[in-house]
Amino acid sequence: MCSDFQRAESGTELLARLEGRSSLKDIEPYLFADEDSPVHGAILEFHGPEGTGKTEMLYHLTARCILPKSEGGLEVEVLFIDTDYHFDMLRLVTVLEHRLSQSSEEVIKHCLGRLSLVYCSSSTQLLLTLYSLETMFCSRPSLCLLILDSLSAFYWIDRVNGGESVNLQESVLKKCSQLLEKLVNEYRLVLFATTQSIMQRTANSAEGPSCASNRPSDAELDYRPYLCKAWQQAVKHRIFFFKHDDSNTSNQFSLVSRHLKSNNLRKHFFIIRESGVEFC
Amino acid sequence: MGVLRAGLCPGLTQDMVQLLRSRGIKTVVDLVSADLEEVAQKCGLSYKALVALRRVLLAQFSAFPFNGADLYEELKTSTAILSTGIGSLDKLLDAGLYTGEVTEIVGGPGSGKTQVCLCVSAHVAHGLQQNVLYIDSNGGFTASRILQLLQARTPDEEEQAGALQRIQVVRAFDIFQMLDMIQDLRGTVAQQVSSSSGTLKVVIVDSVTAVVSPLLGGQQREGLALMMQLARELKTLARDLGVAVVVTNHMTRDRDTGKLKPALGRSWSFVPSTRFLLDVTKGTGASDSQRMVCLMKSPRLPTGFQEMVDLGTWGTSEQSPQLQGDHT
Repeated sequence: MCSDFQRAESGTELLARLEGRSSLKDIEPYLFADEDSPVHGAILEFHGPEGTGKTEMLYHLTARCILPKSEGGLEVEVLFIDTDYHFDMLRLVTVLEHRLSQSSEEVIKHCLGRLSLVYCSSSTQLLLTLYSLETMFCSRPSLCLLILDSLSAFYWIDRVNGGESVNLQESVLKKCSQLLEKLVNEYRLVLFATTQSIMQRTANSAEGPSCASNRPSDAELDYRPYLCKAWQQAVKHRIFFFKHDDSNTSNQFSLVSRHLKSNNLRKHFFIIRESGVEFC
Repeated sequence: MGVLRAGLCPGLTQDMVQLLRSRGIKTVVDLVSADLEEVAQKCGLSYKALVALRRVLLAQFSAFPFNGADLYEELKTSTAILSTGIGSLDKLLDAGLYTGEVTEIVGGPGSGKTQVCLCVSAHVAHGLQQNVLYIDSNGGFTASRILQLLQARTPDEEEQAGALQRIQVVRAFDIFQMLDMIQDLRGTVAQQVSSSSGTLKVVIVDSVTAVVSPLLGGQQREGLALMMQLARELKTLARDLGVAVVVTNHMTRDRDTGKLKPALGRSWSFVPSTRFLLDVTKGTGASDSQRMVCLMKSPRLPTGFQEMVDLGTWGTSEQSPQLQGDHT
């Protein structure tokens, strides 16, 4: 199917088409400013407990991509895969309205026309959907951001459906991870996937993120890897989200971004306003 | 979705199923992820037929992408914000309960969760003239209290009777009964064209802890899987039927820090879009019927804000002068 399509044009033509896809640096320069080379084909994982701003960050990235160039956006398309009916369209529209200099229904609808949404109700459906979306990635060069919220939504259901063998339990997610890796590399996409912190912390762990000077250990980052190995290996960047509990009505958040190969750690602070995420 | 069998989709014959099965391709996923050229050679089936079959299976079983603009148009017309009937709570929730979302009320024993649910039922049934489904799992629903709330709103008995008819109460004391109930609900709503007495707008589950917490604990995964299945059913119910789902949850102590937190653990904490806490206010000057409401999770407002509500004046206009002197 898709391989026939590729043979119809030469390899260089295809590369020329896909090269135009935005890199990570374009999508969020503040977060990825220290990337030396433009990164195409990256998988990033957002990890954190509830209420820490992961979904808001996804709205921020989506808004950056779908806004027109005249308003500071990238004017590219985004595909949002929602596995737990979490996506709030009205919130995204509020974020867009606040970021546009002149927000009208026309402009908003035009921006939203660059967003595609898919709802998946099981991990098997997610896998089959990824296969069927392959043609979409092939044929739409302006589609460069893939968002998956969240990858861990089917975790417990899969574990029970797989019976006693851990391999069987993880098999569908493993296939999804491998397929995602293949799609991201072949089509030079950027994938942001959220995973929820659903496991209890280990018994002796510190309370919150330590200061930037000491490297936070996995325990302090509240990270217990529970998804399959294939996924752990596919992720290039893992970003941990925290909420600051200093005062009752604070809306201060922070994130620690860890580049898995180089083990580089960076900490950023942000607040969430009506217009979405704002870095401090 | 899963095993390949004859007639699963057009073009899939029994012979094909047998041939594929003999080469280890038993499920839809196996076929879609296989190298079709190899399969065509090994099974003796035509490559073209396999490609066509794969395309049909994908079209049938994968999810279809929606365009953002179309979805926005649809949501603009179908989303409603329902006032809870309690002014300060509405303020905290950004005008009220949103349809298509799950809202959680969390609080300790006696904090007033059931009272809030009853008040919402009365207001939606009488003030907004819409139907309510109340799923009671811990026996807290009393018709006499609903009648009291309605009597405080209107002296007209016919209106009270009309409002009572719009509230349907069902009892579910374990999770399987609750899941069955939700399935039944989808069936009946699918069959009805439109009911003359209003449409279903609110589904209240009081409480979800009562049916889920017996399943949790220990190393059992089945309990967590059932809980996530219930969560999924509630969310799809809210989204597909355009209703506001309200659930109540208890509090437990965190085993490390000893602080109070909502029950049912981390996996459940991701499920509701909005969560607010009812707390008994302590200190001088606070009467027994006052409660502090604190917004703990919201998709559109900053959290941490608090409002005071008074249980005694619920169900009535809060500025009603004759009742403020009466309540104990």
